[in-house]
Amino acid sequence: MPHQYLQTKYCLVVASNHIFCGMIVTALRNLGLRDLLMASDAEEAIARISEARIDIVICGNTENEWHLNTVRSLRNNGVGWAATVPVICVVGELDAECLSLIVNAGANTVTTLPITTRTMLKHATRALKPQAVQKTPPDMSATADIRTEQHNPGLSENMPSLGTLASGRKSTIVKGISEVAINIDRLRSCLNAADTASTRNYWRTQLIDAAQRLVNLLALTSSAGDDKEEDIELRERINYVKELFFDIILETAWNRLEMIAADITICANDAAIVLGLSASLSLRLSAIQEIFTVMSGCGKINSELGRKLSAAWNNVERIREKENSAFELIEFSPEKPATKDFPISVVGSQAGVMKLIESRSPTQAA
Amino acid sequence: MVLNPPEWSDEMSVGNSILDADHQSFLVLTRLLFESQKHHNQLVILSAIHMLEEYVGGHFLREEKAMKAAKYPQLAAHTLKHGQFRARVKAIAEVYKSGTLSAADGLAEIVQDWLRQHVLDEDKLYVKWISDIHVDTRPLGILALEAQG
Repeated sequence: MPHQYLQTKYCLVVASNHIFCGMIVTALRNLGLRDLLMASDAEEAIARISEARIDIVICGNTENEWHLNTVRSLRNNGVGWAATVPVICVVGELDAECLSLIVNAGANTVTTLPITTRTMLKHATRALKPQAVQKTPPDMSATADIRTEQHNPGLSENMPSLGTLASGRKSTIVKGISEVAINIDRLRSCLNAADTASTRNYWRTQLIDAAQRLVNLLALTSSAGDDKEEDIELRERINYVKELFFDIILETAWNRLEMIAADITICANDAAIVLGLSASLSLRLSAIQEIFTVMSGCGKINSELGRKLSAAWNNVERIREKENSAFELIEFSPEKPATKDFPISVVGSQAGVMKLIESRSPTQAA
Repeated sequence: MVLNPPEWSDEMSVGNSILDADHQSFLVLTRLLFESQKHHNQLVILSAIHMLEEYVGGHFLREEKAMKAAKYPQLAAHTLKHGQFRARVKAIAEVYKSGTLSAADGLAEIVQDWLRQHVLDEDKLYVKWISDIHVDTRPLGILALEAQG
């Protein structure tokens, strides 16, 4: 029975707002937890954890930024158990990006207001259970789980090795690195996939996820401030996956650009012009432009890619001009068949449309 | 609005620590609801309302089970009063959740007044009937989940 399991546990509630704290404490007491401690911030929480046995920490605040700072502080500044104790965050708003950051910062689980008995019981029970070994995601059939390095020698061979896990912060970072590695593998699986809207969306999701994790990992290592051997090894490992990440997105950008260039060449050689081709090519090029802009922002400037991208944009513009001259926009008025007073008007440009609208005054229509 | 946050007094005891603890939880929730309304945080108010609904269900289930086990003769009448209050709280909660935020304005006072009156006038009548062996000792939150089904 889950509630009997909870009754043996010691819980710390971290909340700067006394009402929020009271809500969580009331919910936990009525689930059977008797030994409850309270703290108003991370510093106080770390002190409490060092003084008493704490099995689980529950953080409560409506501001997501507060959770991010508190969890980071617990994992960075906490020593021993304080850095690895299960942490549940009760947040106000469901902001997917911020929630992802909070989890990557080291929270075990995040739940949102309003609090109910069911959700508190579910999350507390789940957080207190021993972590299960996570299975390979179903869409990674081609590659093995990167977390078990012996199955992916390609990645592990060159990855800087780590000593035994000495601290909770290290285990949080190692877990984060493994998750970035999974993102990279998923990005790699899209390398030769068709350049469709769904592939682009999936690819973009993985890209953003990996980028956010990397940002968080870098923040975790840089905030430590010292040059212990453990931290140097962690930074090397993060830099290794960071370089892999840049390599894979650059390779994807090149592949995609090659495909677009090939389609442009086909279009140039073909006498027939497909309406809407320029719009479709623009969407595909925009995805690559985004990568190029991000990489330039990170100092990873690739001038050859930039030149080829500019050339592609120019070619797409030429295709758009060809479309405009090859196709006419016809005004359809089903209620008003063409007569000598209301002939079908042909417009070939936006300016033409505006002129047509201006020419049709209400008195004429009547 | 409740001017004075409700406090527990010994006159409200029904002679069983578990049932007394339930009543005290209601007062705590009432206090939290009162405080959260002062700060106008809708999500926190909604949490208090959710928990109130849950605990009403859980506590009433505990009392009704105990009264049934003790073969209390006024079980039906008592259960009816529970049902009426439960429906009232549920109606206020539904109106609040549908967006009428003012629906929760008097809820703390309603709960406080009803609880005090119900404990002193109704619950005190079963004190002679119910003993510790009749009372389900599981946490209120667990009974609340059972009451929800």
